[in-house]
Amino acid sequence: MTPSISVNRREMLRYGAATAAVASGFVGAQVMANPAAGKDPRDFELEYRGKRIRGVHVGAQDVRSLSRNRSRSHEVFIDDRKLAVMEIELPAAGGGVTVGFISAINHYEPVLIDTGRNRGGLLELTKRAVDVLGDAELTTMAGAAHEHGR
Amino acid sequence: MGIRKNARDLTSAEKAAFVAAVKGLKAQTTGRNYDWFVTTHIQFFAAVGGIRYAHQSPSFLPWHRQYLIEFEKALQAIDPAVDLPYWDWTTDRTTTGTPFTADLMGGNGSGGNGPVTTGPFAGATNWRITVSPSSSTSLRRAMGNRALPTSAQVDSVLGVAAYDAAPWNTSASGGMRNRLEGWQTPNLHNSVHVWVGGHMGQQDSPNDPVFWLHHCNIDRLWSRWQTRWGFDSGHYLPAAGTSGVVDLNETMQPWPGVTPATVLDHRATYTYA
Repeated sequence: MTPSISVNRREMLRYGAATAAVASGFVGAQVMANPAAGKDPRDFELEYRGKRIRGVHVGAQDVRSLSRNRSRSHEVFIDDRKLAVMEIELPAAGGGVTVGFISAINHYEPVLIDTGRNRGGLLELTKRAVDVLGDAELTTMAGAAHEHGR
Repeated sequence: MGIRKNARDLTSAEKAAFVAAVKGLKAQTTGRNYDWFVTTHIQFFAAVGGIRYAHQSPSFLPWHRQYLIEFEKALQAIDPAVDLPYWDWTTDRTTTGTPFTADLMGGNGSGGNGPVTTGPFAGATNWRITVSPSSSTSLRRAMGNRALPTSAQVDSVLGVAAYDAAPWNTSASGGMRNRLEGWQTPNLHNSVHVWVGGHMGQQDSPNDPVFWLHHCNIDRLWSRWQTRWGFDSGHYLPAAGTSGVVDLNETMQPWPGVTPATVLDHRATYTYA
């Protein structure tokens, strides 16, 4: 099974990244150049309900590589403990496919993350995890990446 | 053959027997005890060996059917009279009614996201959680933050004739399975996990015993779909030759010899009342 992956244009665009190479809406084997180092404006580090939360975004090309034995995804830390963030494909409103993210704590309710309408998605996912944790903390199990494949 | 009843129809004695068997399995220190079931669910939520067995794939339904059979057998080794009950959340829709009563599953978590305070699973002394991405050793719930699915939504999903469709994952939009699992609207299974909240919304959701009542209902809904459309092997897809997912006659780990085809017709093993 090697499905073509249609994605929303905005999901392919990353702040600071070259915006070339995206026109067709089909990714295929297309790879965007890794942009120079620099913080993604969607990244965050703040206190929420008594916990220190931190989120680091990776570019769309890194996220897309998850299905091909990737090494990276968006990263979240709650009180310096890692919460692995996992990518899954979802039916997009109006047809096609979009990408959602879940974690060991938010396992049944994906959030969308992109640079447009859902640019606060990772923060939202993290806040929801803190809401669930309450006065508890993450264990090492929460940081274990697990591949959901496709 | 067992008869799986609606939790609201259990007698007091049947509720007590179910709770006692679940707690007996939790207290077991060797073999396939309760925590083995929790660990197995976590392991198979992800792809194993590049294959999605338990979730986000066509075998979501047959894998959990076998998982429930194994759990029910483990309970019956403790008390042969016990069958799994189901929670029909289209009719029991409150945080205090069936099954969240003090004689069965207990109630909501305290303070919106805290430990359950009533019933047989309240507090780490009664029910200690040991395998989890959260450090909480007490069972937690945060019920009612989302809406439960309705019977009209259930009917719409059961009316979809195709079992599943390419690309056989969370983005599949042409079949019943992804609607029932919930990555596609109207989202039946996932939304109930989220509605209960706490441990039920996490990777280690079987730590909450209501997991079994919810999944028993999901299995019942699949059985209703099969009653309408067919229990035969023509009503499971994909049939063969599909990488990354379990075809009709491929083994479902971790159960040697068990395939979707072998569990499609459950009626000789159990039925639903």
